[in-house]
This record gives sequence, C-alpha cells and structure tokens, in this order.
Amino acid sequence: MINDILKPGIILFVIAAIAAGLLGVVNSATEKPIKEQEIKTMNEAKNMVFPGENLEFSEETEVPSENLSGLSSLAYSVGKDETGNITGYAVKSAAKGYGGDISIMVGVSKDGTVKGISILGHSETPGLGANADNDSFKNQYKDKKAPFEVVKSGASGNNSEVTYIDAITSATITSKAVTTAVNGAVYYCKSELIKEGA
Amino acid sequence: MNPAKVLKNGILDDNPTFVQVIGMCPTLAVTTSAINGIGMGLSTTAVLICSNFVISLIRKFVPDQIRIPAFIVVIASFVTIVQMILKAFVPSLDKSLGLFIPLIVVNCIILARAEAFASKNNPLLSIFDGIGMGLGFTVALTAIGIVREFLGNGTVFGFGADLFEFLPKTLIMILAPGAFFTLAFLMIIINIIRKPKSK
Repeated sequence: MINDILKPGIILFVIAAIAAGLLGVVNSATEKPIKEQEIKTMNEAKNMVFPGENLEFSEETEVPSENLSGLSSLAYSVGKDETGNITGYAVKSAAKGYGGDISIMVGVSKDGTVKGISILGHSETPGLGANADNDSFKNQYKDKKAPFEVVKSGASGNNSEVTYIDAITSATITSKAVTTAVNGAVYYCKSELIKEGA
Repeated sequence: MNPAKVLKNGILDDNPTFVQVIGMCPTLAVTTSAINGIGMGLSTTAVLICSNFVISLIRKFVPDQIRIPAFIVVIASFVTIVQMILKAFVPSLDKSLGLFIPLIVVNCIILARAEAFASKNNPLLSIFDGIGMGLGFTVALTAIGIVREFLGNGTVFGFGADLFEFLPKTLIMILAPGAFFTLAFLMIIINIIRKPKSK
C-alpha cells in the first residue's frame, strides 16, 4: 500500500531532479552568450536610429513610471561621438497599440530633431499594423521635429508647428501609438535632458 | 511496423492536423505567413523527436500513475533547452520564433504522441514517429500559411509583392477567421483525395 504511493513519488522525483540538473547546466552555459547577444542587439538598435554616425552609448537609465504621460515605459541612454561630445539620446519608448505595447527606439539629436526610429517589438496584426516596421512609414519621422500628428491620408508635409505623419492604411491605432511613443521620447529629451545638458 | 511505414503514417495517413485534427491552437494562431508555419512546424518537430526518444527510453521505469507528469517534465525541459540555445547562439531565429517556442509545451501533438506511441514502442521507431508526425504538422502549417499569406497579403514566403500587386488583398484571411476558412477548405480537399483509397 505505502509502496504504491512512495515508489511513483520517488521515480517522479528522480526524473524531475535530472531534468532540473540538466536545465541548470544548459542555463549556466548559455547565460553569458545570451547577455552578450542582448547588449549587441541593443547597441545595434541604438546606432540604427543615428544613421551614418558611430556613437558610444552610455548605460540605459530607466525613467520612473510616474513621469510618463501616456507611455508604457521610457528609458534613455546618452550617445557620445569619438571625442566624447554628447551628440544625442537613444530613447527606448513604448506605447499601447492595437495588439499590446509597441516598443520603439528613437534617436533624438541635441537640438530635439528625430534622427531616426526603429521598431524593437510589437504584436500588431500582420499585414496591417505590422507594416509600421516598413521604411516608408518609419522614414516619415527622420530628420523631422516633434510634435508629430497622424493624419489619415495625403495631407503630409509640415506647417510651422506640427509634422504630419501619414497613417498606415487600416492601422490608425498603430500609427497613433508609434507617434505617441516618438512624441513622448522627444518631449522627455527636450524637457529633462537637453536643458540640463546631461 | 517498420520505420518507413511509421514515417508515411505521420505525414499522410494520420496527419496530425488534417486527419487527427489535434494541435489546433498553434495551427490557427501562427499560420499568418508561410515562414511562421515552417518555423513553428520545425521547432515542434525538433522537440517531438527528442521527447519521443527520451520517453521511449524511460517508458519501462515510469509507473502508469505518474506517466503524464513525467512526460510533461521531459517535454518542458526540452522546450526550455531549445529556447535557451536559440537565444544564445541563433538570436535571429529566436526573434522570429520567440513567441511560439513556449507554446510547444502545450501543443497536444507532443503529449498525444508520447501517450499513443512513444510509451508503447522502442526508441528507434519513436524517433521515426517524431519525424513523421513533426513533418506532417510542418507541411500542414506551411500549406495553411501559404494560402493565408497569398490571399491576405499578396506574397508567398514574403516574396512576390510586385508580382501579385493586381490581386485584391483579403485582409480577413490574415485575421483569425481566415485560419478557420483555410483549414476547412484544405480539409475538404484532403478528404476528397483520401476517400477513394479508404474504400
């Protein structure tokens, strides 16, 4: 009777212990390469939003959540050129899209101009919102000044105060989310980073 | 039973998606494009081969009452190992498949094959069963992916955007209902082909 409970229990324990040991070994072997890969991808993403420049980036600083207006998260790192001068800020910013958070990287230069953006992660509908990752959409922000405003069609260009962004067909929510994230990033740079000269 | 027959069984006669109709969650969720279908199919195949092999090896030591938890531990360990290795050494693949890999644990094809086949057959046959069922799943997912991507986005494997520009893009095919439509029509076709044989 007691054997009916004890024996399967011990066997299951042995199987689980072997599995846990194996996972531990694989984990310790892959931990370092995974970290390195993450840093590498992050650095590549940061350099991508400053096209043509080769910058060194500082460690990321997380902005506390009470200072975010409408954004899901915000973090920045300071970009310096070879001589050590601050050239701009790589800002990681996220806002709510149609299928969840859209996380983007924005390159903001010292005078508050957007140098480029790249989409780090999203879960938008393939074929619709996922088109936000196309260059034709992302390049609308390049070398332009905030604030950006989404328009449904055709009216692109800029007047003196806002830069118009052509919405992606059938994906206005996605377009607006990306724009919110970009605007928030630029706004934070202008109000907190650039004036301090940090 | 010989390996070739086991292999054919998985891909054609007992195809997990079109004939057994199991593993529907990943089938419906990830087949928005052909590449996603292949990726999910192949990573499932890899896990299925490993888990079938190990479960077949330990089948004689595992008492009946604890076989399900024991199988789940084996399957979950393999999935975690696959994910860690992908993350460390092939990050590009991890980026495109990242979402689907944890889904493999709950894919009922894996547990179904452990129960129905690997726990009753020798390791060699179990490996072939894993290959057969895995490829059957891959073929099915890729077929659904191709149809949905073509009708919904006008591309095949991400190519041909210019070639098929004249076609209307039926967005619903890429959204959830499109998965059901495509699955239903492919099943009709497969059943028409299969029917004469079974008489």
